[in-house]
Amino acid sequence: MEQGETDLIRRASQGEVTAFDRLVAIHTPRLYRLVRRMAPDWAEAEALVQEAWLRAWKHRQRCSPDKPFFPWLAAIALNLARDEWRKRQPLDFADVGDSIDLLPAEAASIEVQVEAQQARARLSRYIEELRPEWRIAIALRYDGGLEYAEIAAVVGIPLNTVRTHLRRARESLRARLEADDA
Amino acid sequence: MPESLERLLREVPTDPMPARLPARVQQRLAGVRAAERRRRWLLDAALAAVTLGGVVLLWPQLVQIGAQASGGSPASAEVWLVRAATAPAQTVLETLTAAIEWTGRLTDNLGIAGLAGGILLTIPLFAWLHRLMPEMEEGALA
Repeated sequence: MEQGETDLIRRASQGEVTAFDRLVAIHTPRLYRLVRRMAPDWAEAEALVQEAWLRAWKHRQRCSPDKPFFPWLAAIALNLARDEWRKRQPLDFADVGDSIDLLPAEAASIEVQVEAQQARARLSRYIEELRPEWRIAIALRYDGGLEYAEIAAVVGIPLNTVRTHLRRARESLRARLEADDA
Repeated sequence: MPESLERLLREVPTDPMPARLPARVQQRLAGVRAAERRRRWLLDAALAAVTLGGVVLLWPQLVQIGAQASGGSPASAEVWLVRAATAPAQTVLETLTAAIEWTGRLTDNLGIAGLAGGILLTIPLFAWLHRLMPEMEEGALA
């Protein structure tokens, strides 16, 4: 974490309006990307982002300048998103396995790039259809850019469960992409 | 699969962020802060009025209490010390009995208005103590 941001967080937590507004300007794009992955449409994503910032302001004294700001903000947004989901259907947070696997990378060509673009578009749809806990893990990891330990702290689950959710989510996504290719 | 899933996942597209979203968030926050300031100002004004009301109701009794409490002197304190040295148990007993009678007389003289004044003064006191208390933690991060 940069010294400038530490100072910004410290001033914002003390209620300094300009410092807090600066944090809004810095973190809103990343927060929107994260929340959009969990929300059904852009309007709900925007509402969640706004609500998350209002809650962050209300509880600004709990924000520690010694810790990264974004995981704290992501936790607030995640709690709000989960509340929204619970209104629609109850979540089932299951505990499952471990480990990470990657698909083989190949040299880029135009054909490959087009394929990749199509795959990314399909992936976006498939992520929306993942189980909520897997979607949360994927969103925090790839849209929020959080480390595994940060995801565990944000979601409030063990580190191994985070690994499991990500592994299962990736397996599911890979299976669907491979089924498309077949 | 042309690329690693890991890389694809990092590049999965989402809708672009709505234009001026940070500005709209800042605008809403400004509204919330203005409401907070108004609420605090109204609360402070109400507490000031309650404090003033309490003091007005309690003032006559405070004057009486002041008159009753005064009257001690260095000479009477010296007498008490000499008595306490010669007969400590009896002196302490007499002092405690006198103190209990004195507080009894004070509360008898308070009356309804005095009690109401006392109650009114405790309200701003509790509000002030509440502000001094740190915010309660609800969760690990949020």
